[in-house]
Amino acid sequence: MSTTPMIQFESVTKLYGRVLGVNDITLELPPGAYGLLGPNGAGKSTLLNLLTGQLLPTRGTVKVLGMNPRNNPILMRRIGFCPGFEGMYSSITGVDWVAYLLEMHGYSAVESRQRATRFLEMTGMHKGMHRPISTYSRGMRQRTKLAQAIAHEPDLLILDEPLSGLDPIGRSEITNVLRSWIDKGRSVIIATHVLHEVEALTQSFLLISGGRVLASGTATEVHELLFKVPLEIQIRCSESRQLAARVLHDNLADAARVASTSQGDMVVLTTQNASQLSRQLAAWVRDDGLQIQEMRTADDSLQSLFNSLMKIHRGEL
Amino acid sequence: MNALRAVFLHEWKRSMTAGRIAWWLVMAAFPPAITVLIRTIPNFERMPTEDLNTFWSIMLYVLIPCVCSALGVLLTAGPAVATELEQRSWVYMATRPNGIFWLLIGKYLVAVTWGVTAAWAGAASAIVFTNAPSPFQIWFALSALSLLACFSYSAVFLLVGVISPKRAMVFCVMYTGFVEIVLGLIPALINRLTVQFRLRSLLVQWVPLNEKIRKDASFSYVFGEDSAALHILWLLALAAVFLIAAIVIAYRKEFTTATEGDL
Repeated sequence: MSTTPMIQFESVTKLYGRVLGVNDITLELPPGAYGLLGPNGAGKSTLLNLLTGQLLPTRGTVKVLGMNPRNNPILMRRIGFCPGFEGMYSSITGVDWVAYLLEMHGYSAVESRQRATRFLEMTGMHKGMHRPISTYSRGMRQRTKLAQAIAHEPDLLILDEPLSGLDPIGRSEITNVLRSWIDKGRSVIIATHVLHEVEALTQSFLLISGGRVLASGTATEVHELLFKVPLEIQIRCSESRQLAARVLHDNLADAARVASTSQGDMVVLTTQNASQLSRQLAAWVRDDGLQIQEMRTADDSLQSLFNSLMKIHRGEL
Repeated sequence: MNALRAVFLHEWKRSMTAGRIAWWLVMAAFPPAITVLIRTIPNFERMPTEDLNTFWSIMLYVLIPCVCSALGVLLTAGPAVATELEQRSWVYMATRPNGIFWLLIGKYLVAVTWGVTAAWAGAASAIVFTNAPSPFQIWFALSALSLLACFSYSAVFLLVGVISPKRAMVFCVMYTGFVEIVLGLIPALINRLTVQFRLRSLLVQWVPLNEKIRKDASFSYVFGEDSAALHILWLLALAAVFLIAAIVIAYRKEFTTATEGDL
């Protein structure tokens, strides 16, 4: 494997006027597969635009595969980009679209057509590739976008929310395509705001929020972080008051209250130990006949993680 | 060259919409329609024969290289960048090797082809309805001038479209009105930098104009007396400068679809 870092960010800041896109990021990643996790508006798209050379950093330097990505045809031969939005010509067919982009890449018309067909088949578009893109479902568009990104077999694939809009079968198929891609030793960066989407593909994550890389690590480490974050959990069960008293008694929650709702009482817990709480709840269900009708977190756990990390970053926690 | 061929063919196919074809037909039919209307003016046929070549040359020059060519390329070259940005397809091209370069050159050539075919069709059909004594000479001059006008105006409008994609059409019309018409007619050094000045100068040399006009001192400021080759070189140089400027600016600008909402 090459020793050249796949990505190097050195004190990179990007401002859109007075709006901060990314904020003083310094980072070096060796070749491999990475998940770029962050909530909407975290700076993921800005980061990807800096990687593909679409944006110029306001300050600092960006290098991709050892090269400046801005207007760099040599680098553009080696990267494939699947943006988070659609933007494909709706009046032409999927195979024409992918072949057209391959011809722009320098392939002959015949070879472009062959490659377009092969890679559209690989992404599960064998049936729809000869139909106009305007007739495609969201999932078919995602598959076509992915095909155009991989059809020239780049060394580095940059994907922005590649699984959004896909049904479970589609997710599984695309995940398999990407997994085989990674297994061939090629590098991938996948930006998403859904952790479990990329867990099947990589164990390396970067957590970004507010334009900063807040944390990095493996999926297990991210889950650890998730469990350490104070989490609000709502439980609708048979014995609300007893459960509230029990979790406080066993130090499984920092706070517990019983809220009355139109569907009956609900226990609202705040815990920093969600993993232990979930194990204990399972035991109570099994051993003591506790009946849980509904259990959910009050807010998106990843979002609360990012909020907490931001607070830690600002010294508020 | 695979990329240029691909962009040209692709853009040509994309431009084959009912609306665009209708506009092409309007552009091509406009000069013969005006010609026929002029022929119906009472007493027109009494115009002295020596003035007919001059009249039709100037009239068809205004209708074809000035209006038909310029409007034809305006609709194709002006919004070249804006259409890609609006449908968010720009990034797909920009992440290809030299993608922006090939995209702009391909769109430029399509604009030239689109404009010049409409102008040539207009010239060929309009000349049939004139009563000019030298129709072939006028037709040949107009066809050559249309080609040069399309090369030059496409580059100008492409540049305007790159500088201001959102208001490309408005600024293209403003440029044509202010620079090409107003500045182009100012009898000073500035008019020599306009496309119109060069085209007019070639017109005077290539069509059988009345000698009174050729020798009139007041016209010497709006027509250049350099050789035809030099005027052609000027036009090609202007087109090249505008085209290079458009490409350089496109490479320097950050045409990203990221908005503040989806940073």
